[in-house]
Amino acid sequence: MNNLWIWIVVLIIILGGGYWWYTSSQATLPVVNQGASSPVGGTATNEDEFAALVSYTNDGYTPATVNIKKGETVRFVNNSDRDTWPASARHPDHVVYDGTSRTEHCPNTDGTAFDACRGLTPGESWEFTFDKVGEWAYHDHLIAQYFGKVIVTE
Amino acid sequence: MSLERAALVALRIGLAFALLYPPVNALIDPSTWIGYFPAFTRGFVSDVTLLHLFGAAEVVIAIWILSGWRIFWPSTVAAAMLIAIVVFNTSSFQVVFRDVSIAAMAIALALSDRKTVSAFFRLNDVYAGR
Repeated sequence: MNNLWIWIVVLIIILGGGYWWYTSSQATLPVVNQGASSPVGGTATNEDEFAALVSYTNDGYTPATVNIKKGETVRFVNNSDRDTWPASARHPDHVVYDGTSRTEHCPNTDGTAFDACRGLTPGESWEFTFDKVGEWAYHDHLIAQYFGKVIVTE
Repeated sequence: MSLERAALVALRIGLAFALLYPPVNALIDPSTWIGYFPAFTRGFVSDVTLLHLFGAAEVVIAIWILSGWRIFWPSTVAAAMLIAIVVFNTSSFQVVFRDVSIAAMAIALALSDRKTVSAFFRLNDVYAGR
């Protein structure tokens, strides 16, 4: 019996570690310098308004990582068939970007929090201008397994 | 009450609390909790229905754990649920890492049910022809 439990624990660790490695590698591989990127799915209309475009599909955010300069804007477009709520790490309080929790900064009327503060319906987009240098992880508040990163440099 | 029994009661209360808080808080702030459900579970029923169905299951398991009756079964289910939450939310590991510890509590409780554990594994031996 002892051996059985040891093997169960080992199996869980292997499966969990493998899944973790797989999702981590998926999130960090596609590093893309977007510049004035092309709209994905035809939802966005004015390319000059944002420096990078992130498309949310049924499989998560694409590209998972974007690089921009301080003061530039990222547009998040919902190209999936469900709602999405892009927001700063960490789920569920979204406190990392501006130091305030979701309950403190939503509805984010002054636009300083990296948080949509609501679900974006399919086809809808939301933009955020990054005024802080750093690597800002974000996630879908409605399905937290989907996440990405915005790298902001001077 | 022996120290061993007191320890098991403490484990049961701790595990039950971890199972009861989410469904209760989800009544006030559902968006906080729905995000932990993986994509493959979504779309069959509304998010709110899914959340509260899972919450009802958590309440049932918590009450069963508090009762102490055949503790192997609810504890095993709780451990499986907690491990699943961790596996499907590795991006939120800074938050869900505690679930690993709580799952270990659940496994400890399950193993404390010596009668069921020994019966369960004897049954497996019979099926395996040993």
